Amino acid sequence: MARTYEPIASQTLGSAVSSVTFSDIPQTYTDLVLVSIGRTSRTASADEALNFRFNSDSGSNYSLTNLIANGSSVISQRASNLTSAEWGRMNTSSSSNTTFSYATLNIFSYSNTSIYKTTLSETSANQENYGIARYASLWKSTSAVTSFTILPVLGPNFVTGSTFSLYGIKAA
Amino acid sequence: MGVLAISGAGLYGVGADPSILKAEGLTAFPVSGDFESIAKVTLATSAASITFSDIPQGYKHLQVRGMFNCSTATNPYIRIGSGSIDSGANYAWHHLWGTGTSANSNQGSNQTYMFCNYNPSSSYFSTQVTDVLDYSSTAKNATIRTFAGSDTNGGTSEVAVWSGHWRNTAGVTHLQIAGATFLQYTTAALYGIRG
Repeated sequence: MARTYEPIASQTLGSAVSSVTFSDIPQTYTDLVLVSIGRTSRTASADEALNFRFNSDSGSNYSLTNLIANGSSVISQRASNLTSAEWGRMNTSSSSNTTFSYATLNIFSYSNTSIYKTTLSETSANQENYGIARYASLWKSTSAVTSFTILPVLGPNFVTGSTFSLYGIKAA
Repeated sequence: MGVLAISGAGLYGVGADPSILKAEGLTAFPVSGDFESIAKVTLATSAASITFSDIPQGYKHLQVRGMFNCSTATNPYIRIGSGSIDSGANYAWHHLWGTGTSANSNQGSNQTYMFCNYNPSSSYFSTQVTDVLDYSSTAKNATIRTFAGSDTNGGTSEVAVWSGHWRNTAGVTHLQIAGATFLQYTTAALYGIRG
């Protein structure tokens, strides 16, 4: 059997940055998986939204539906016609929250130019309102995903030590 | 503050020049063969089901990754079996899902299938990752878990997780996704995970 789950790139931040971009993504895989462990520099709250943008597209072409458990209740939200897609929540650097949180993003059939791109993601933020979250997010474009950017909405930065690893999954 | 741009992904992937990796301060990954492609189906025309047969027994777990587009709003389901697809009342599951406006939970027991997705519109695909755990064990029922979702830019949508089992201790050799008319470009890929 062919080896099919392959690392594409990985970076552990040596200094704070406001976004992380993967570009020139090989078009030879079936799906992409981003695995991250991170925290943002925001101090006003214990968690914040984590967004993505494909191919630098800042048009109103993104939407999402989520399911969130916060330790006492479960809620679901949705939003449409966004200029970037929320795909999870991430811990911040508030005084009550100095730990990192994980986020995994699945990008399906990213090179298919006949369909819109739908992602599935799972994230944790261990404080306040967003303990564990699942998202389905949509980029309403048939373009192949050749690059994408991960960014905290308020941040302004991902802190030193945050790790982002991109993998490609190749089907037979 | 700067931004991080990781460009020329081929440079940093398998087969990269180690000197480049070192110069860029990036991590070179070890080569691993623990996640392997078994089969993939992409529909050129509509079909009522997708079936994987004669699944090798040499892995620890199975994973199905797919994108599904259905002719009408539908809950596709999964069936598995040993030697053939089992349509008996041998499935049970719990389901947690969000519609964007509400969060919900239900369960089913003694069912003839296990739901695994919801495709709300023929204009949008729903995505899915399903794991069949310890599928070749002949000492325990097969446990199935699924993470699936679809978003329609403000319309009916769903993000969901399922956990369930097939009440049979036989090794799983067949897996089917059915319960809908699947349209062109629907894709299901089966992988084996070594343990």
